Amino acid sequence: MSGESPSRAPSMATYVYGVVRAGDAPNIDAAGVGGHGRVRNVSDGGLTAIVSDVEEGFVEAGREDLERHMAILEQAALSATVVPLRFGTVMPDDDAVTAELLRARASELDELLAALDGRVELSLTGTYEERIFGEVVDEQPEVAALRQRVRGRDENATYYDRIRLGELVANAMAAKRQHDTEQVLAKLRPLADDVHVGDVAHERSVLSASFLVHRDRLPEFDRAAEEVAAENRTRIRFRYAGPLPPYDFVGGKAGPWG
Amino acid sequence: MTTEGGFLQRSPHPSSLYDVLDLILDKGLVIDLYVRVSLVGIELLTIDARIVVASVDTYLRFAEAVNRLDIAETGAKDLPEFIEDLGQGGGRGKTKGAIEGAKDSIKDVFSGDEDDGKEKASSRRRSRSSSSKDDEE
Repeated sequence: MSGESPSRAPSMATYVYGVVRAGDAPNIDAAGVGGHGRVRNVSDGGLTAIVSDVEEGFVEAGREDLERHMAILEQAALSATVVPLRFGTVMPDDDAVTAELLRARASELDELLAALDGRVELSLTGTYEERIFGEVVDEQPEVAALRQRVRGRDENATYYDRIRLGELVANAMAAKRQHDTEQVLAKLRPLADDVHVGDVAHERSVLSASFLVHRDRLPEFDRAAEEVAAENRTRIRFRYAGPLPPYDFVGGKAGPWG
Repeated sequence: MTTEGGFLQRSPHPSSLYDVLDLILDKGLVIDLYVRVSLVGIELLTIDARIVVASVDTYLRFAEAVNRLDIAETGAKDLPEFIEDLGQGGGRGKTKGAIEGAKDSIKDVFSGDEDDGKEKASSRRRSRSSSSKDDEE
């Protein structure tokens, strides 16, 4: 991270990226988060944790660390089913990884790996184009009327009318968002084993959703996503990322261990 | 990395930092007590990026967006303009929307060296103290 190379060896801890079945364990040749250690594997029983050394007390994370974390998990996911760990997971040493993760949570990890087997995550986010406001004006007479009233008039004099106008638009957008989200999900949900719909990130967002899809169904899912985008091409811009490690489909199972 | 296949903007992995944050932060299996890497600055920015939808600011922005339209004059859907849009990567640049704004601020933080970035992040926090969702340090 910083340009200075440490003059004394800092004491090291173990950064953990994710867990795979020992039989699938990839050999990843890459620098780890923090830039100090190479990626390596820690195995116990039938499970392998993908880890790297990291300075103990390492607290500063930048964009490159996020990208390393992501890239390493993506590489693992090429050949293995991966349970990704939360970004920033640092255990005191390899023994702790073995005892407190691979052994203590072996049955949970087994279950997760079985449920995720052969599956990847696809991320789909939709954002309304600016012309969506035209749709709102066309559909909502009250919005159209209020718009006529404030257009070209002094901003201060129309302050409360503009707030009211914006509120009506916001309500109409919320209804559209709900409707469009339902439409998209109706089309894609049947092709996925699980769906996670995230919070709306921004005022023109339509949806931010992750789909757990079996690799065998990827082409079909892909076509359906393309159709959804084509149907909405004038009004919604869709971004589609994947195949990804199943970040969104392991979190709900966090247990009371530790 | 991003390819335009039909109408979907595709990429093998999230292409903007905002999407990376959205995808990775707060996701993944948690081993209690062991999430040790502090991401204070970054987490703050993701909160900043999540503009609270129902605010007066949003209403005024929406009102402005509606007023900017020339619907009666041009019709809501103008095909040549739409094609041009696609060529240019869409509505980007037309409005300084919240996503663009948030990306800018994230870029701010990561473009300089780290200390600089942290300083910006914390001064940003102070300057936003009158707005929504201000968590305590």
